[in-house]
Amino acid sequence: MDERTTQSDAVLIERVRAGETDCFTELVRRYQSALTRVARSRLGRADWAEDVVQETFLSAFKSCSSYDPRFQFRTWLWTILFNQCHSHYQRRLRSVPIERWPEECEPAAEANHEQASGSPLKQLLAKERTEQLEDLLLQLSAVQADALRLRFFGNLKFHEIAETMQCSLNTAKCRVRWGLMRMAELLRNAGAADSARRDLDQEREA
Amino acid sequence: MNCDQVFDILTRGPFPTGTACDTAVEAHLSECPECHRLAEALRPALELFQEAVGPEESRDLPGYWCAVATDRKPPLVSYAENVEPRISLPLTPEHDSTARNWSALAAWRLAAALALGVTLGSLLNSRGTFDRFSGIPPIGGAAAPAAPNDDSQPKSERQPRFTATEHQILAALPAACFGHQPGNAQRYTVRSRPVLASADLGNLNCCSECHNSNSDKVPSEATTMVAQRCQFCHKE
Repeated sequence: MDERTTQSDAVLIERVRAGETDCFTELVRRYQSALTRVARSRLGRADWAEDVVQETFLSAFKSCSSYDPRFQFRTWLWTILFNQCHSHYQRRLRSVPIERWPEECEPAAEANHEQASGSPLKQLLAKERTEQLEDLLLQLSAVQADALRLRFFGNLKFHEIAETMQCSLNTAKCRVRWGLMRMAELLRNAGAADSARRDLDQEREA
Repeated sequence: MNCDQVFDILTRGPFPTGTACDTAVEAHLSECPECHRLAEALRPALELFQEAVGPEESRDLPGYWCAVATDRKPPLVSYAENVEPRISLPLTPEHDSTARNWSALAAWRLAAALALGVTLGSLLNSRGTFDRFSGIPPIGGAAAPAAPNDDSQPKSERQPRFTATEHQILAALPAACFGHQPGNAQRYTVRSRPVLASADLGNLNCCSECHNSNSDKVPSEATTMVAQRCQFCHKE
């Protein structure tokens, strides 16, 4: 096993700063998936998310010589990601709108998804759940949604969320808590609406 | 185990986790009604997260599969300030593209704010002139036009209300029409008439004269409306 896989972020970034740029590969391997997931949830498009993640790593790599090791690497990386998401979105606003590629145009993604999810039914259910989750996240306040993304997609601890979002620990916890509460409420409302619709249909049939 | 720790564990991943702390969490939930209520309330949202982000895709790329709407707008929240304090050395353009991006963004924002201010200022100014001189009422009015030559009504009440479309047509009038206070210049004074007849158009000394003087056709509705508008401004 490569020794780099067992080393901490702090050690790896120190090695990168010392000139062992290969060590950055391990950092990319550790965070690329989670960063892509959050970026995709935030931007709504896989291609944009991949661009943003690439820019994030590039930016982190270029800035690592001036990185202050007193701070955690991962929260620094998450902050760069959020900034890149923001600037990417601003750039897109100024540029010509681009149509989203249809799902069929992402064969690699589809193949991976199928492989990861198993049966088509499971795949369909998972897709529905992710769509529902994204819809719910859009109905939350921006900070609550970001806090939830960091917590669940990024697996960040509360103090890391606080550091990334530049707020207090209690605020970070409250954002996650109230975000979840709001989501639960929205889910309950949606469930109640569904059952009411079903009752109405049954009455009509009767 | 306290409430904070329980909340941390419940929001960390699927519960029960299969570790020794499960018993402690369950004991706390049975003793603390507030945490119990919270856990029950959060259960559907937590389950949704756990179902949407399966463990099998936790570390593989790309790890998040979601077909979402293309017209969504991500939240305009940034945490820009968080990057810079962590950088101990002075930033140089070669070393920090993030800082450079944010400088450029700040400059863009400043320029956009200035441009917006100037545009709004000129718009308001011109709108004031427009309203003052032409008497065109604000957009959105749906009331029927008042009789233009009814002197018993105050001027503000005599002004007709136009829909947005009509307003758009009126806004296309030549700038010359708005450069003169209505009624002051004799050459812009025309006779008021409720409906324009094509035969009379040659007598007009305004926009309709140019557009319709050589035409034998009955003017279109838009032309008539513009002409009526001219007559309204350039009243007798």
